[in-house]
Amino acid sequence: MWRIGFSFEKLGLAALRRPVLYSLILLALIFTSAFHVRNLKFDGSILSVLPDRSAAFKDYEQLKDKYRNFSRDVTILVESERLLTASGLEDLRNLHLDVSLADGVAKAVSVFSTPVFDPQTGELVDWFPEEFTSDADMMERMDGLIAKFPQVKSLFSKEQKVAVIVASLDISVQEDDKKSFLAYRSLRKTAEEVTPEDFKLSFTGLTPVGASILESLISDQTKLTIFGLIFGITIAFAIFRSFMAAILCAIPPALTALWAFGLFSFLGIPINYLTTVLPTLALILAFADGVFLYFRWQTLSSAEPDLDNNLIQSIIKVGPASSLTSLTTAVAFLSFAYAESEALKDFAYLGAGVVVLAFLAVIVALPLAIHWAIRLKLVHPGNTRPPMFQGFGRWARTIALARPMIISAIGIVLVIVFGIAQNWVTAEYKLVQYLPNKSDIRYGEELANKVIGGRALLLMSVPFENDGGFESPENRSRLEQVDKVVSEQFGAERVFSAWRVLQMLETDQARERITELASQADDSDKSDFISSDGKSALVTVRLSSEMPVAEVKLVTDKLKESLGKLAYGKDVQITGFPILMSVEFTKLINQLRTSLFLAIVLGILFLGIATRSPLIMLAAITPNLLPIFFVLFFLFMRGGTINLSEVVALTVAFGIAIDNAVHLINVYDIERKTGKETRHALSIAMEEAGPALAAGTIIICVSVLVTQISSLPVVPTLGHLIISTLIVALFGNLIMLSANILTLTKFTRRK
Amino acid sequence: MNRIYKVFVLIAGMSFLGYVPSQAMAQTASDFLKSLEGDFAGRGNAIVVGDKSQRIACKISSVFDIEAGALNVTGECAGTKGKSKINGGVTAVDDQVKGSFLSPRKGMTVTQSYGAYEGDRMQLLTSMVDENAGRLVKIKQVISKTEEGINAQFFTFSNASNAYEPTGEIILKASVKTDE
Repeated sequence: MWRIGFSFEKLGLAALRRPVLYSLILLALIFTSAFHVRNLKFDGSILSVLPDRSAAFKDYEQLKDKYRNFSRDVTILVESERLLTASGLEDLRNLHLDVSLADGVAKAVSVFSTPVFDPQTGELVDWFPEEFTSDADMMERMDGLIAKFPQVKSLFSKEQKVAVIVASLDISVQEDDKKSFLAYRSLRKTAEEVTPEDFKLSFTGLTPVGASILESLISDQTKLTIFGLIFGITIAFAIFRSFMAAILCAIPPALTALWAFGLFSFLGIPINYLTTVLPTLALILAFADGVFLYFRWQTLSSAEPDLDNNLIQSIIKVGPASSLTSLTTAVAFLSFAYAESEALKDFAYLGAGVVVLAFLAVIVALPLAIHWAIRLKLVHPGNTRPPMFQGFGRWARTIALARPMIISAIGIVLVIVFGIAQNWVTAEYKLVQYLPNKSDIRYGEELANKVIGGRALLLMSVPFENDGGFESPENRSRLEQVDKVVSEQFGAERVFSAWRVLQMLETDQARERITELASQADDSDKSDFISSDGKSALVTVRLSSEMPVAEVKLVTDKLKESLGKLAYGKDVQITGFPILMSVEFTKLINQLRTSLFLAIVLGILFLGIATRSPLIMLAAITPNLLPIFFVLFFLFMRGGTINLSEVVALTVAFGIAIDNAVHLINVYDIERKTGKETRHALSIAMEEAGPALAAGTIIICVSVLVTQISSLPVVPTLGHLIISTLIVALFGNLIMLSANILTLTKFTRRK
Repeated sequence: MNRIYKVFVLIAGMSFLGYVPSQAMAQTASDFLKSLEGDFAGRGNAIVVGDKSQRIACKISSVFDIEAGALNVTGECAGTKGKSKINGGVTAVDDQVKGSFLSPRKGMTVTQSYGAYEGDRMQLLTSMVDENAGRLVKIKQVISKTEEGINAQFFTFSNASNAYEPTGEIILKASVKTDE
């Protein structure tokens, strides 16, 4: 007979026929996973999810090759009441010098590094004296420097009493996350050791951000796994009112988590800020499906004393639904493979992989665990009590079957209304959304945005007309023109380029000297202004990392338009982290939204194929669209934007939410095949599946609450959205799906 | 900027440069070189830009090879406008001490270096030619051991005053290396 689970549940029945053999196989899998877990890798890079073959990414990489990797810079913010005094500035200079000498640091830049050249000779002169004598003298010099170079404000804020030191890391460590994180930690240690007590240091930049995310990822894995299991066991205990039941239900999720880590490690794929949630999600899925199976077994065992036969019957009845729910969830994960990003493809395959592992844990490991518990007399006939939520199905039945047409109509209206609103939700990326909560890195990033206008760099590479470098009037003219265009848009005080120095030189001798110095300088010394081959110059603007991607796009488009008016405007390369993120994240999020709808279509299609019923497929559309559109409508009301993790959360939530429909349809399908008419079959299905669905939803929601303890903001957000989706999906699938089936059946009969 | 900076590096590295032919101090010079072994860091001043001295910081590591009687020095010095590496080596052979930079700046050739050791101080006099500018630069360094580390003083010969004038000083303290 055709069953909705494609007969994958037979694996569980096979395991019960040969319990020793299958137990040994499971043990081998456990030991293999445990062995591989030691080699688990983590990746804290915020760029790890970006497609590395896109045009924007190539521009970014090209500029790195020409100049240096600006995204590796570590920004140190120094706060002190003493910064406006001679002694405070002396300590700041000493800190600058010590930071310069930290391991892995190529150079450090602070207000003291501002290059001031003699306008006649082009020789470098030092603006600040060796000895800082009086507070008044120092402030006078500082004011003078700011008047000469307004950009200095981004390195020293008199009003906020904040100074900035930017440390560039050695080229040798720039392309290696591990080495650059080590260099950052060494730099941080050095700075904290030498800084006076009344100086408060904050660190930011993509390297500290990456290191901070990495630390959170590692601590999250332990926290989320352990607390996820504890939450699940507690709630299972409350539902089944049995300690042994709670322990047995904890076996599939514990094994799934272990196997998931083993899978990551075996494939050599590092856990990043997106995939970090996969082991926890797999654990939760295994809990939910395990509870359905155990629920059925305990319900049967409370009436029938043959525990072994009850176990077989439970697998036969719940197994197909578990199989199909695993398939739909795996399909939801696989939909991420539609995105261009290699990291999201990894996420897709790993996600599908852990879902399969969760299914194996439920359909093979749990029955075996129950089997051995029966053999060891840990569970006894007659000592099982009916689980909670027995009245939930009856309550839902009275609503759904009383006014099916009205409920179906309400469902259609809500889906249309929410569906229209969700179209207005736009993609968003803000770096701060990915920074660990309450971390000093977040504080540093926010302080940088507030005080110095941000540390994210918009970079413009101006190709020179000829080989003369800064000595060539044509080259200088190009730099001046681009500097002017950029200054008009952003304000002169936010623009950095060699033109700011060149315009002050009064003689050819001075310009020759500058060109000579530039040609002799090491790459690390000149890379802020001129390319290593001397054929192009750099103009940079600092932007706030809080700037929405839509605004970055507007800003960039306007800049491109203005530069396009120059004869060589199209050759000016515009890139930088904010642009990369605005282009790539917008594209990625939109691709993921397509993935989401792909997952919905495939999920419902699977349901149709599994049941071989177009009617059920049609009936499942509104109950499964409603939770997603409801959450998107909520996001629209909240501000109208959606970020990467929110789309991922919705897709995963859909994959879990459709499980409710599968379980209900599974029982309905069985009852229909026994000859019961639609209303009767639905009534039984709701009464039978309702309590398990309620228990499953509560277990998943409570277990998902564990995400709230993560220090990475994307993980709790993922939890919020999954919980919201599942709650709407529970009512949607139990009430609206049943109402739809009944309504459509009526229509079909009329025809 | 970088070129000027490397002049400073050259000067700083001179602390460990030498062709010290004094027969009387051979043993003592070798002992002295050995006493300079270790990791040191400190701050000081030097003429980095123009004719005014500026604050600098240095971090060096020196290893004395007993068999070769050589002190090898590596490290970095930084000012507020940049930093450079120091690579130096001084060898004591019998009654003589000699040495050279591993990576002297392009266009600067050391023509003569000699010195004397008295008490706990070593004085080195170095002459070099700036090939680009075509001028002779004469530098004197006075290196002494302190309770906490090393004191290095620098002087440059001024044709105007016909005397060595102070151009910098670095006070280096022994540092404890910590493993990451």
